[in-house]
Amino acid sequence: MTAALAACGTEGGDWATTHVAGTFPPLELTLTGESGQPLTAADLRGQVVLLYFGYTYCPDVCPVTLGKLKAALTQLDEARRSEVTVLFVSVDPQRDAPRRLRTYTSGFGQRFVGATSEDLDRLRELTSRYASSFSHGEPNTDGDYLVTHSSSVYVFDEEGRARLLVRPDDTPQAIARDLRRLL
Amino acid sequence: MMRAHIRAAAVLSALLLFPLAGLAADNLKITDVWARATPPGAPASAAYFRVTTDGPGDKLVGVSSPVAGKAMLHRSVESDGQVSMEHVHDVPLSADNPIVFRPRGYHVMLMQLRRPLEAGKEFPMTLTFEKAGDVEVTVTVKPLGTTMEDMQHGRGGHGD
Ligand SMILES: [Cu+2]
Repeated sequence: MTAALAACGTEGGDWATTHVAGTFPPLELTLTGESGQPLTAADLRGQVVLLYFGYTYCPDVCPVTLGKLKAALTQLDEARRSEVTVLFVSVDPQRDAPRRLRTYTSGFGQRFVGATSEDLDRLRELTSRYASSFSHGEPNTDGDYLVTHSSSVYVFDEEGRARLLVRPDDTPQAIARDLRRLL
Repeated sequence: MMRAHIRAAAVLSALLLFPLAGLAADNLKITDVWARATPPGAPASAAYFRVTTDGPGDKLVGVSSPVAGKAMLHRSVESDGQVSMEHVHDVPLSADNPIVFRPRGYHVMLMQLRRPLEAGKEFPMTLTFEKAGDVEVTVTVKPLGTTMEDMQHGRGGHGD
């Protein structure tokens, strides 16, 4: 495996998005999946996982990011696409019940699944594992509040190793190109 | 006495303000007005547009739409790998400083949507300017995944 990568000679350079192998720990999570059942990293083995933190109340950046991932996935052939899972983790469990996440992610396509945890500490632990965080703003008079969250998408390979970071300015073309290399 | 006073004031403001307001609104050009179709079950969406003027400076101070129980001027702010939204009180406009609402930047936050926004549909929205007053625009709903690039290259399917 290592030899093959070395022979390839491109590991570490020439990625269109940000290469983060060795920077972040492997995929590890214990959440509630959109079906209401527990979801762990073991359930995602064999899939390239694109992990994104957000919330369904977010009208701008979240659908933009998920829409971009959808556009990237559309550029892959079907066999490859079936090996990719976009995991949308809501950091707003108070408003995003699993059922709502299931409805929401279905709007982006079959490869999109939602998850969250009612335990905010568990979500905090998960985000901080990937050098990120989230916070909830003060509710207004209607009880609405805004959420600050990570703007990046974390990409894990089929063995759960962190490989890439997709930043807001990365294009669907760049993402698709890197996914083809990972798959 | 009081009433006459008010009436005089009303006539005066009608004479003074309405022609001015009309003029100021005539100078405004509002283009690329669109909103994103809501993902299923999503309670909010965002609308975008451009405003240019060849007249005096003005300020966008408010927004409303019958499709939303509440609409606000917002801005998405990205820094240090984190993203958040903030409420914006007003947005300045001048001949060399157009107003640009676009994904990941300024947006109209449409909350308490009365029904989901469906791609291809249109709805009215009122932009309120400090000088030009209320200007009604027609918003075209674009599919999920529409980007600024799509809009600029006409791939978003301009309604006009
Ligand atoms: Cu907003």
